[in-house]
This record gives sequence, C-alpha cells and structure tokens, in this order.
Amino acid sequence: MIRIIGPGAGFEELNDFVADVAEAGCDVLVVNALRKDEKVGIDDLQDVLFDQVCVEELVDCFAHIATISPELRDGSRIIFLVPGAFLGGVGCTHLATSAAMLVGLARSLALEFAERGISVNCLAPGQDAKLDAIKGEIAFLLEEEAADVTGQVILIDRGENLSLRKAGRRVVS
Amino acid sequence: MSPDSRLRARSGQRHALITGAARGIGLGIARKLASDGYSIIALDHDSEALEASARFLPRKTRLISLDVTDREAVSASLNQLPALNAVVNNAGLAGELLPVAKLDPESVRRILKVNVKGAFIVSQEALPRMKSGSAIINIASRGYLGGAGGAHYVASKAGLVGMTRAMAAELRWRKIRVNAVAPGMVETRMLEGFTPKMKAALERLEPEGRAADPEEIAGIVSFLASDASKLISGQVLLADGGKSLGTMPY
Repeated sequence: MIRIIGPGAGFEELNDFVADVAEAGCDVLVVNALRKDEKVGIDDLQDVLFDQVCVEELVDCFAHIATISPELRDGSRIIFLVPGAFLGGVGCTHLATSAAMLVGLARSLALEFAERGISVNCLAPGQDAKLDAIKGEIAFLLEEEAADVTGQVILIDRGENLSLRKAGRRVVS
Repeated sequence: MSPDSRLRARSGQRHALITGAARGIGLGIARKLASDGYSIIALDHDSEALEASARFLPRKTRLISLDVTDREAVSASLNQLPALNAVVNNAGLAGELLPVAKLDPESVRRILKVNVKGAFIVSQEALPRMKSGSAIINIASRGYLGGAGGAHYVASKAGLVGMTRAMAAELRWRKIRVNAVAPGMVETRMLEGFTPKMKAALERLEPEGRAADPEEIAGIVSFLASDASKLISGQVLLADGGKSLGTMPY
C-alpha cells in the first residue's frame, strides 16, 4: 500500500516515484505538507489563514493517520515532507508553527510505532524545492538498510539553515 | 518591597500579563512576577478559580476572566491595558495519552485551538502594547520532543516552540524577545489523572525524584522576562532536570 496525504501540492509524480523505489511488501505513507506558501508578517496574519494552516490541516492529518496507521504492516515507512520553515523565520509564524507541529507528530509516531518496526522521519527541503531535489533522501529512507533511522528530521537545503547572513532584515507583506 | 522594585516604582511601573493564571504554573508565575515588582494582569477562563487566586496576589492585580481562543474578548480586554513588559502564554490543556488511532478530530482541534491558537491570539493582540525591551514567554512542555501517546498534545507544544522561533526572528527588529520554557513533570492539576501509585512511579523517573513546584518554573520565566536575559531570544529552555536527555548512549 502506498498512500500520500497532506495539504501539499505540486508533487504529482510522488506516488509513481515511491511505487518505483519501495521494497515489495513495505507499505509507505507520505504526509506531504510542501506547497508554495506566502509569507505574512505577524501583524497581518489573519485568523482564517492561521486556522487553516495550523489547525484544520493538522486535524485532517491526524484523522487520516488514525485511519491508515492500523492498516500499515510491520516494517512500513512513514515520511513527512515538511517546509524547512519549521526552524522559524520572518513572516513564517503560521508556517513554522504548522511545520513544527508535524515534526512533533512525527516524533511521537516514531515512538508509538517503534514496536511495529515502522519508521517515521521528516524531510525538510529548502524553499521552492522540486521533487527531484529530495528523491535521493526519500529513496534512502525506503531502503531496508534505513530501517533503524526513525524520529529524525533531515534538512535538504544546501546549508541554507546554517547561514547567519540570513538573519538580515527582510521585508514581508 | 525590594530595593530593585522600589527603584522600578519610581522609574515607571512594569506590567506583566499571564494567561491560565488562576492556578498551577500560571499562578506560580503571577506570584513570582508580582514579587519582582510587576503589576499583574491575570487571565483565566475559570472565573471562580481566578477570584480564588486573588488572595495569593497583590490587591492591585487585574483579574480578567476570558477564553484565550475568543479573539474579540482578548482584543477588547487588552485594549484597556497599559503597555506590557512581559506576556506569558501559559494557558493550556493536557491531552489524554491515547494512541493516535484513538484520537478523535474534535479533541485534536480543541487542544490545538487552546494551546497554539490561543497563544497566537494573545501575542498578536498584545504586540501593539509591547515596547522595545519587552518579552513574550511561551510555556511549552518537555513533551514537545515527542512521546508514545498523546500526539495531539505533543504537536501542540511543538507548534508553540515553532511559533516561538518564528516570532523571535521577526520581532527581534522591534527588540521584543520571544522564548519558551519546556517544563517536565510539575505539581499541577494536569497530574490529577494519575493514581498515586502511577504518579509516584513517574516521579521516580525524574532526575530530582519528584514533580517540580510551579515556583521552580516561575523563576525561569522571571529570568526570561528580565533584562538579565536580554540577549536570549528564540530559545526553548528545557526545565526538567535533564530528563529529556534520555539515556545518552555514549
């Protein structure tokens, strides 16, 4: 079984790619939360957007996982695709909050499903990443040899998150 | 009155707003910040408990009964307030320690609304009243790191930490600091769900061998609200005696 859930978009070939690389007999659940998100300054952030990104999308995600997870076979893999914004950033209050929630959820699931041999990890690409940029890491997490990697977040951003120069004042809408 | 607070009284009264202040960690923080010389604005949704907390707080304390998820109520109340030097987002719900498959959408929504959206609303409404040098302190939980069971609570507290980092990045230009404290086991109503035997077993797992007192968390909040921490922003201080280090393998 291969299931792709989450509010993400623009990754149409994700299902095909996962089907290609997943080992036979290994179920894969991908929670895709990558999409093009507008930055919004804290003073202008409206309840409607916050509720959608930080409450309702999470509620949906929990509901999907509640339904799907009991059907996953032992040794399955769960991969969360989350925006690198979980580390924070200017104009990212809603994005950082929702991404951090997904990371928290993933870490909990890693503990909850450990005895079933189900690994749960997060891939966090930089801004505007295409599927090609993270295929290698997806394939790695689906390998049999990666079974013991769980509860981790892998940033795939060419070191963007390490750059102190990014601390510069940035204007947001 | 300490010499420090006497000086403050001359140079201008400081004001601190605390949510979930009627009991537990919130009341501990309110008492500590009052003793630091702040004038306290205590918010809680439970009006009776809030009235009862008054005897632990200075007479000039403002008690405001409201639900932090009610934007209009928060906005109307905060509009009446003087400039704020410290805002402490402490109001929160504990979630049942259920496996994810047993969590119903309404309980997930409720915990995210109170623990995350509530902190967002209060912070956003407080910002116009916060000057350079003021501080927001979010009370998260050691649980933000993950746990088997109660994933909705974990996600809510992890979200609060993410919000802390994002707001800190944005507000540094206004010289408003945003930090989080992540307590471990604390002696509050959240422990009421445990039998005495379970509670004792959990306390043995704490490095201190006991649940912390709210006062022990309040001291950290006092530091993060004060100028002594003026270089610290966007951080989460784990306040659990080191339990969250887990069983370090090396």
